Parts: sequence; C-alpha cells; structure tokens
Amino acid sequence: MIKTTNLTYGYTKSYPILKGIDLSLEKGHIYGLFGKNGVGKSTLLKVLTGALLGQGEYEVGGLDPRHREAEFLQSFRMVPENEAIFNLTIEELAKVTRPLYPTFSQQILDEALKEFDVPTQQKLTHLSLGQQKKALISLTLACNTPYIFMDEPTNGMDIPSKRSFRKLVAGMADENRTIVISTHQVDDLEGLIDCVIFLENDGVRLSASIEEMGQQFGTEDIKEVFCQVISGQE
Amino acid sequence: MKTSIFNINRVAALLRYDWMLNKRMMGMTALVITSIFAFIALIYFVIHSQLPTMGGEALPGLVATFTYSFFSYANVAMVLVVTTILSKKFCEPRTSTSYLTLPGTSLEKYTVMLLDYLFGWLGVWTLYLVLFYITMFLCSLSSPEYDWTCNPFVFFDAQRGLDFMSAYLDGPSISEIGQQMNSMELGLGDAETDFILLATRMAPITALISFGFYIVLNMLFTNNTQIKSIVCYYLTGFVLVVIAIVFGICWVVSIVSSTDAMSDQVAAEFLNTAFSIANYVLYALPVLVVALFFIFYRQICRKQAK
Repeated sequence: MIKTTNLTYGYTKSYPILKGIDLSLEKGHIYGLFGKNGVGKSTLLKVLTGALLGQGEYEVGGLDPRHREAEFLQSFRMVPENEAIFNLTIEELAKVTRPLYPTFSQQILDEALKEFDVPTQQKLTHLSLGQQKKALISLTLACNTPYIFMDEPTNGMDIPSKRSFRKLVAGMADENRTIVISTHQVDDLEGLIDCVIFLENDGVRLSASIEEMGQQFGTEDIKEVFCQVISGQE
Repeated sequence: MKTSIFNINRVAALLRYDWMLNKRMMGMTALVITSIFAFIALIYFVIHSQLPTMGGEALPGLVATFTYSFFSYANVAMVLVVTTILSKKFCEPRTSTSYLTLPGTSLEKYTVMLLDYLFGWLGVWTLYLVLFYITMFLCSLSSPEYDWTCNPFVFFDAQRGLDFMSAYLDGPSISEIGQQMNSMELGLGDAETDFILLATRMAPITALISFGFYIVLNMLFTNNTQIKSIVCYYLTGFVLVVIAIVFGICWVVSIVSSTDAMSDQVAAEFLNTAFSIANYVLYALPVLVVALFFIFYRQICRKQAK
C-alpha cells in the first residue's frame, strides 16, 4: 500500500510543486495519474521512489522512501520519462540488472520483448525512441516487483505497441501488485486502469476508482471528467 | 525482514552494473585525454631534445624525467577523467532516476564510486610502471653504454623526485633551483618559492580533501539530482578552463626559459614544479566549485522551477 499525508515537495522552499498530497493507493490496482503540465506528476513519482526527498508523512509498502533502504528499493521498479540510454543490448542490461532484483523473471522479459517485437541483439542506442521505451518497459516488468511506477511510458510508441503495452501491463496486475502510470495520453490507458488520480497545483483533486468516478460524474470517460475536474469545463 | 545497509553482494552487483554501463565512455575518455597528454609530452620531449645543453651523461635521467612527467600529466588526466565522471555526461546515468532507485543503499553506492576512483587511479599507475620499464628497456637497447636502472617510485614524492633528479643530473638541489629562479628574475620571491614547495608537499593531502569534497557534494545533493548534474557541469567547464590556462602559462614559461638559455635542468625542474602547482590548483578546485555553487545556487533553482 502507498499512503501519503500532507506530502509536500519543492525544488526550492518558495516554490513547492507538490502541496498537501493525500493519497491512499491499495494493492491490486492500476492507477492512472493525470494532471496538467507542471503540476508535479513526475515529481510525485520521484518522491514516492525516494529519488527526491519530500516532506510530510508517506510510505510505500510500509517503508519510508526517504530512508532508501535496500529492501524498499527492491520492492519497486520505475520507468522514468527520460531514461539514460546505454550502449548495451537489452540482454546485457538485463544481465547486470538481474542480480539486483531477487524477483527478476527471465520468462517475463522474454515474453515482453517478444510481444513488443524488440530486437534483442541491437544496442539500445541504435534503437528508435519507441523501441527503447519498449525494451525498458520489458525490463521493468521482468523485475517483477510489487510496485511498478511508469512515467509517460507510451511516449514514442506506435499503435500496435500501445496495444501490446496494455496487454502486458494488464497481465502483470495481480492482487499483490500496485501499478501507477503517469501520462497525458489518456486514450493509451483506456480499459487498463481501474483507478484515477487527478493532480492539481494545490493537491489531489480526485482519487477514485473508475466506477466511483462514473457514479460521481455520470460518465466513465476519463477525458471528460478530467476536463470537468481540472479545467472546470463542461 | 530488515535488510542490511551494507551487503557485499549488492556492491558487487552495482559495480558490475556501473562498469557495464560506463566502460565504453570511461575507456574512450581516458584514451582521448591520455592521447592529448601523450602529444603534449611528445612536443615537450622534442623541444628539450633539441636543447644544446642536453649532455650525454644526463640522458637516462632526462628520459626518466620525461617518462615520469608524462605520467604526472597522466595523473592529471586521471583527475580529469574523474572530473569527467562527475560531469554532465557521466553524471547523468549515475544521478538518473533509474540508477538512484536501483536496489542499493547510499553507503553501497558511495562504495562503488570510491572503488571506481581507486580502480581508475590504480589503472593509471599500473600503466605508468609498465610503460616506465618498457621505456627504460628500449632505451637500454638503443644506448647500452648508459646505466638505465631507475627507481620509478622515487618520483611519487615531488620533493624527493626533484632532489633525486638534481642528484642524478649532478645539478642544483631544490633550494638552489629556487635561488636560481629568484636570481633569474622570473618574478618568484621567497614566498612564492615556499608556496611551490608547500604545494608539492601538500598534493596528496589536497587530493584527499578534494575527494572528501566530492563525497560531501554528492551527499548534500543526493536529494536533487538535477542540481547535482548542473553543478558538475559547471565544475567540468571550470576545470577545463583552469587546465588550459595553467598549461598555457607552463608552455610560455618553457619557451621563454629555453630562449633565454636557461639551463636545461632548471627549465625542466621549473616545468615540473609548474605542473605540481597545476596539480595543486586542480585538487583544490572543489573548494572553488562549492563557492561557485553558492553563487549560482539561486539561478539554478530558478532555472529548475520553470
């Protein structure tokens, strides 16, 4: 479970990007994290993964990310929006990543790479942006961790790849896993996520399951509700 | 189950990860920088070999000096490589979210950084020893009439190295060199000469201090990877500028001293001392960088907040 109470983070004291974030994310769900540019979606993911140190109360799986304990770091894997790309094949990268994650599954990696149709013998630097993303998502899924965070994972992907992405992520969902996906591409997560989080400058505007959202707003169309909640448009 | 803050298996795994990801760039950077220094050393050698005062008796000592000088530069190059490690290009993978979130405590990741530094340093000095003996061996083949047995470790201590060279060349002692430099109106008074001696003696200490600053810098900004990258970017630029200036000065001094018919030993020793100062400046740079950081801190923060 991921729980935050009055979580605040700013690159400077006078410029807090995240203000008073209260969230409670349960196991067994796939969350879509939405918000306008600059509201701190990526920052929130970095704070939750311990890459940035926030203020307030927050924990992931009962552990405080600020302590950056190995046990905590082994409990999740993140796909950052801008990942450093190395002159290695995905197999080579997997080879050095595997020892760090006790839950690593070669089977998941092989299946994901096959589903995404990623060339495994080519260096990552020689792949297109979409292929790089697919390779890194495959690696993330293969780490088989209880928490998975993805920041704009479908950027640069073609339509068939987005379909594969939905299929693979859906396949990873189980009652012991929490997946959080931050994106602007609402359509890419259609039918995949079962909970939404709408983030605004002054905190969380909405955190609800798709069903609850439907009951509250009379529609399960995420884009429509997003416009109502965030922009105040009809 | 609580995991330990230091696990040697995780350190080994992180080291393997680090090496696999960065070996190509490490190798290329080291190769390029070493090539540049080799070129400089070659020019240095060619200029000095043409000096009329280069007597036959001094040949083994001079070659040893050149070899040592070259690896003094290589040591500087290593500092540059390490600085480059801190630079934007090398820093990015290490400060990237994916590296920071890799399973490994901060202690384990700092240990990996320390091992990187040590391996690089040992690599340079192993290379020095190998090439030193190869050079002496080749020289002994080409000029068997001279005694080519030299102790490569004597040069580790700049003071003893200079005294050794002076004795070897039957030249002036370090204090006599200082007096000569004063009398040659190079603008170096007693205070400056003392500073030079102090600088050469302080080099290992300042190296340690600089490494300490590097660790502190990392620890201070672990929570802000972008700031760290920008600071390191500034650091590298600053280091390169200072290196260029110091080398420029050394180069000019070398040429001026040659044309003024200054004795070859004094010119060589002066150049060596100048490089010791360059080392000193280089090692002391992190202090300046921290100062720079505080000057640019607000500007950096504003840049990030946008």
